[in-house]
Amino acid sequence: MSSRHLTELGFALIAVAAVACQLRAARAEGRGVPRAQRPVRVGEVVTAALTTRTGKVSVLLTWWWLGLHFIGR
Amino acid sequence: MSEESETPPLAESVARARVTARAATYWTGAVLVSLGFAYWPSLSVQSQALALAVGGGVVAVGLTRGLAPRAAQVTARQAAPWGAAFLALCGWEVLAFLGGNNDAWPTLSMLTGPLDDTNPAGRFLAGLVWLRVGTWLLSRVGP
Repeated sequence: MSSRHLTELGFALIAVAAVACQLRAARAEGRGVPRAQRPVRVGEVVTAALTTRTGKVSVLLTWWWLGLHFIGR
Repeated sequence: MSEESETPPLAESVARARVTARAATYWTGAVLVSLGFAYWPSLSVQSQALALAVGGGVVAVGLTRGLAPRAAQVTARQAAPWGAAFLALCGWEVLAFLGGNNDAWPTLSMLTGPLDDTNPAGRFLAGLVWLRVGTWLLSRVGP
């Protein structure tokens, strides 16, 4: 396996893990499990980060940087 | 029909028209900005200025608003899987960067290059997604 394939595989595994987390949370929510007792979706974690000033600044700046780096570049 | 019974439908119509107008304004702006990203090539001054200005505007609005409600907080146990995924992504990105940030060890931005770097349609879509996430963030913070 080349280093490129290894790198791609790593990113792919992280993406699969993230999708699995999201689906697990959505399924638990669909079953009506109370929020405090179920896994959470990525949007809920990001929203939770927005409940603190440091988190809000970090999230907004990260979003800005992603646009500058991936699209503005 | 009394005046009182006519007021709620009128207020409802006005509220609906406001929502429609806001959505139309948002989508017009988002499409225009994304067309800018599609038209101007990657690394051009225009493209970077657009991302700087629009992103800066969203961040400025977000910073002037309040925090998201406390009820939105999650426990450390709930956040752990996402924290682990985020750290893994950052770690893998750093490894690829230190490995050379080249064809042999590509970082994420190199891998997505064919989509959001050289492809106008991809840059247009990437712009729409980026702006949608930005406005979603603004909808999550306080008033």
